[in-house]
Amino acid sequence: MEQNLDQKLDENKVNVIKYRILEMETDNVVKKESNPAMEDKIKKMIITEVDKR
Amino acid sequence: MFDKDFKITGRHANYWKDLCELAGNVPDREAHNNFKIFSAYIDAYVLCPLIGYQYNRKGVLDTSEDGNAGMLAEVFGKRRAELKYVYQILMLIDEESEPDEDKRLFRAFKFSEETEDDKKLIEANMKVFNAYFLGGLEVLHEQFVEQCHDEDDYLKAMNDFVKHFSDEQDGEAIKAGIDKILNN
Amino acid sequence: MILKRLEMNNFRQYIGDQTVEFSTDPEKNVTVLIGVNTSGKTTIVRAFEWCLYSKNGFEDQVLLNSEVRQRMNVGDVQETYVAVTFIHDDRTYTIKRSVKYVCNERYKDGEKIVVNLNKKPEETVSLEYLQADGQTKTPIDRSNIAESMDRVLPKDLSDYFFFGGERISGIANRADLTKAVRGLMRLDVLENASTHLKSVVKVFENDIDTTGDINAQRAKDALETYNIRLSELKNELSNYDKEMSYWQQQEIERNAELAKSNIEQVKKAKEDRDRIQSALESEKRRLIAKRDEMVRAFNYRPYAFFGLPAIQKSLEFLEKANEKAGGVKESIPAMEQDAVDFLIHRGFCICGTRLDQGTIAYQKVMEERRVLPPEHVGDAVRQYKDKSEGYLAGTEDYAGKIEQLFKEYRLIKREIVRLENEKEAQGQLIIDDTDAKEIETKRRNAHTKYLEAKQDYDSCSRKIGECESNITNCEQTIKKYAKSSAKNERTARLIAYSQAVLSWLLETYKGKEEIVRTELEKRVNENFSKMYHGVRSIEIDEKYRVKYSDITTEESDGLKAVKSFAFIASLVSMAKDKILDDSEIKLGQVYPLVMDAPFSNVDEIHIDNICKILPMTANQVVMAVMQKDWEYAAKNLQRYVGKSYSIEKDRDSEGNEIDTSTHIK
Repeated sequence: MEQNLDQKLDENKVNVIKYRILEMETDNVVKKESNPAMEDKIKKMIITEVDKR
Repeated sequence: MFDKDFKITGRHANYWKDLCELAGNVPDREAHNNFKIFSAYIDAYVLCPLIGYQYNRKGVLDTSEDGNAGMLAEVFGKRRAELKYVYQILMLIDEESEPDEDKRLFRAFKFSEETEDDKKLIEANMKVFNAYFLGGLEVLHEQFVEQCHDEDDYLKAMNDFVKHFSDEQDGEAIKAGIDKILNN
Repeated sequence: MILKRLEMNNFRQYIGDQTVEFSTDPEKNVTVLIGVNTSGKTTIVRAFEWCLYSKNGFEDQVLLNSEVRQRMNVGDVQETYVAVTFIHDDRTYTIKRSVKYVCNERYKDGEKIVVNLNKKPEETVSLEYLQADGQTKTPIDRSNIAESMDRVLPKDLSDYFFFGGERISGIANRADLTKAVRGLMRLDVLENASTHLKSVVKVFENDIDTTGDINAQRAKDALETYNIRLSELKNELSNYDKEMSYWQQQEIERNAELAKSNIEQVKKAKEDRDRIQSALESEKRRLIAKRDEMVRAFNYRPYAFFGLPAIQKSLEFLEKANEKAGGVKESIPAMEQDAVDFLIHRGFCICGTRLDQGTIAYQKVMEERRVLPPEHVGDAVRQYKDKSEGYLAGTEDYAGKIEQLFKEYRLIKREIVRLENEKEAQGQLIIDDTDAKEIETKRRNAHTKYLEAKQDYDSCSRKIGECESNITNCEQTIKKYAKSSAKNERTARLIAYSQAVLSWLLETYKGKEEIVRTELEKRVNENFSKMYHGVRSIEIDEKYRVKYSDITTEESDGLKAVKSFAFIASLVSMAKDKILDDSEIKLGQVYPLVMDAPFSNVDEIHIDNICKILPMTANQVVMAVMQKDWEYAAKNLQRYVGKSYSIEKDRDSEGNEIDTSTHIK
């Protein structure tokens, strides 16, 4: 039962999120934004990507 | 069958915890931190009914002490085939719960729960299975937990328990051989 | 980053304007600055640190040359600056940091002239790069300079590329190199991503509206409690870890003291004990493995073994029942009477034919029913037998295997007892010696304390494991609820995606870290064996601490330095090789290695060996060395030297060196 939802995950979408988060963190190595700021950014990005068609 | 959460309470629950590695949410873990002969609850649940049968021991839940242990239905998944097999063995041979041979045959191969009668039958069968399970827990608890203090003790007890059982089997084979000669 | 030029103006003991051009020739990548002991070698490293990162490592914070300072009158302004020119990504940059001092006060105190300067002098910094034409200079906005420098060589890591001799031997022994290694290998990207995403998942989980479901609410409350508990436990764990390291270090030091003892007997006894100890540890590991193997064997289909009499009985019973029913008749495999009953009840067959009582179809199906289990046992018996055979296969020697394993277990156990007795006897030998007695007592005490700390650590680890599995349980409960509620569906999706990515991140991180550690270990060992004449095997632990895999005995400063060099050389060479560089993450750079007095404390053989390795591991090596050390080093390094300078102090009319007036020539 637990896995049903996981199986429905769109693999492409998962990959997009992986890629975006890596991009953001790579930038941040230099930018050094605060943790809350980064978390907020990542949260928003995930919402956008998941809500996308 | 073997598709619902399974829970026991009281003394046997504590026995079960003493015998198995504990995973997940176990508040009284510290009280059961002895060496474990089983890797998980399910391992004991598969084996104990046969031990109970072999030692002719049926257990009855005894809530004179606090105790609580159980498995989620998901756990049965991969082990359901084994459980059904053990169940079948017991259903075929346990004369105590069903002296009639034909009925034993019937109940051993009855898995579907279509009708009320089916349901009742399987429920009664599961009672037998679980009674032997509790009996098996008692036997193993006596053989291991009550006699062992450290790892060495447990491993020695494990070796002895297996060896004794094995020797007894040979004993039965010898007896069967003697019978055969006498009766021929 | 490749260094091109260092310019210092009235900086500390370097009077006037001093310029050093570094060799940028990839074949001759070494630049040496040779000086006498106190000639200001360390200042060179500090000049870099100050210029690049505004780190002022001097005890006396004033950077201005003392002689210049002495000449200042009230109201005079003097500037000191350091400029570093370097190449990064095919572009030439110059960073210049300067500080302006104003004289506030000047008076005579007996023979001495006291000049007081303003407390907070103004510091300015500029960074510019040369355009392709080689002439036009483009400045970088001041607010971006620190960020840009971090891009070139992160400040956090600069310690590993600019260091003084007194710091070298400590590097490989540092408590936690994790941060540095992660940074260099760009594992920090994955690590930060996981940390941030973990928090995001928590935020999403909190977004789930659990009002209306008591279980979910309870799980949510519990989750919070467990999360707090988890962070407490992690804190505790790190304390225990520190304690363990402390006592282990104590024991190592006492061991080293014992080894230093001049009495041969003690020395030998200690050596013997170390040998016994390492044998003992390996036997203990074996014992645990054997124990686990035995439990595994016990758990391998025990029901087939313990059930054998019951199975035999059941097979005999079935055989009998089968005979009674008239033997085996062919029937549809794996089909039972229930299936036919279902068809009859439904009223039509699989093929669509109606199954009304009295029809031929009905009769045929009922005929088939009669030979199906459970009424007809032939098939059931066959199936049951097959099943039994399957389960029994491979368990024939169950008892024999357990017995064999138990025998092996006992043999190991006996060996452990023997070794422990032997160790005890060796310990007695040590105690017989009065000098060593006290040390030995301390060592034992440290060992006991270590074991205690380890026990605490292990128990805390277990608690963390429990806490984590409780957290998982709670999360699952919440998740279950979330899925059942329509309005939470979106949040559940967000969580599902976040968790999928999170577990990927954690897994990837783990994998890459493993690669880095393994490779680092390999390289450190390679470099170490090239630098060190003896045989020593080195391990890198989970915190990137460098350890000998055999029992640690006395470690001289020289050996520590060799170990550190091996470590740094490996780290730099890995950064150079971009070990983890793939399309996913950008890693690695070109780095210089700037060292001050790298060979103090290191003996000749090792200087020799280190010098063979360094020019090949780093892209560029700049070292300030003492004249006497250079004599050894030159043998191997000379052919890699592209530029060479000497650091000299001016002399006064009487030929004495003037401390405040140093030049680089």
